[in-house]
Amino acid sequence: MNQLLQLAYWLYNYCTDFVINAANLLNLSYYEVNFLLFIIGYPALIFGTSLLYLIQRWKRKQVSNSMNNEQIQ
Amino acid sequence: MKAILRNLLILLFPFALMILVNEYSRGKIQASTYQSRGQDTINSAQLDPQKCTWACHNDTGFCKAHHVKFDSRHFPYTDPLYFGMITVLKGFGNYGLANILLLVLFFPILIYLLLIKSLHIQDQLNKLRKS
Repeated sequence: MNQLLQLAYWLYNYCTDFVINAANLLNLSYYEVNFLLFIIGYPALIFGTSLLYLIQRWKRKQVSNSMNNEQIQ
Repeated sequence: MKAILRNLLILLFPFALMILVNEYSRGKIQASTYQSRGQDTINSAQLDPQKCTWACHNDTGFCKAHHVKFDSRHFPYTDPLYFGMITVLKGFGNYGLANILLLVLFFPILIYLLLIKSLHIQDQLNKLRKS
């Protein structure tokens, strides 16, 4: 369990270093990159992929319904 | 086979980007002796007005004062969201672990699964249209 926690902390540090490095490379700040990633990016991606998934399911239903109707005729 | 390769590439891309950025930066900056939660870090924790370091992680006020580029008039709108998220994560009891579980595992896996499922349905639709 302790080793798993140490791995999680190492990963946390590596991800934080990524945000710091990305901020410096993009000439932004740690605050801005965090905000763009986790306050704007994540919710937008979760909403976008959920919407895409629902649209795809609806499209599949439409296509299979129209194919069933063609078979009946 | 093509779909498996595509799914694997989508899964690996964010991790590859993170490693690329970190390892590129590691070669450009001086080796750090700073440790957070008992683990070595790539960046130092020196207060540097020119660039972000772990000091910005430890003291958001310093980062806002020296590094933030956007108009400070936006802070009344961005701060409640920014610090609200930190407060929620701290509410789990272990801030670092909650960060990893939610922001590195749960949400990315959710986004990945929704995207892969949507692409799978698109494959099915393409096959149906062809037949």
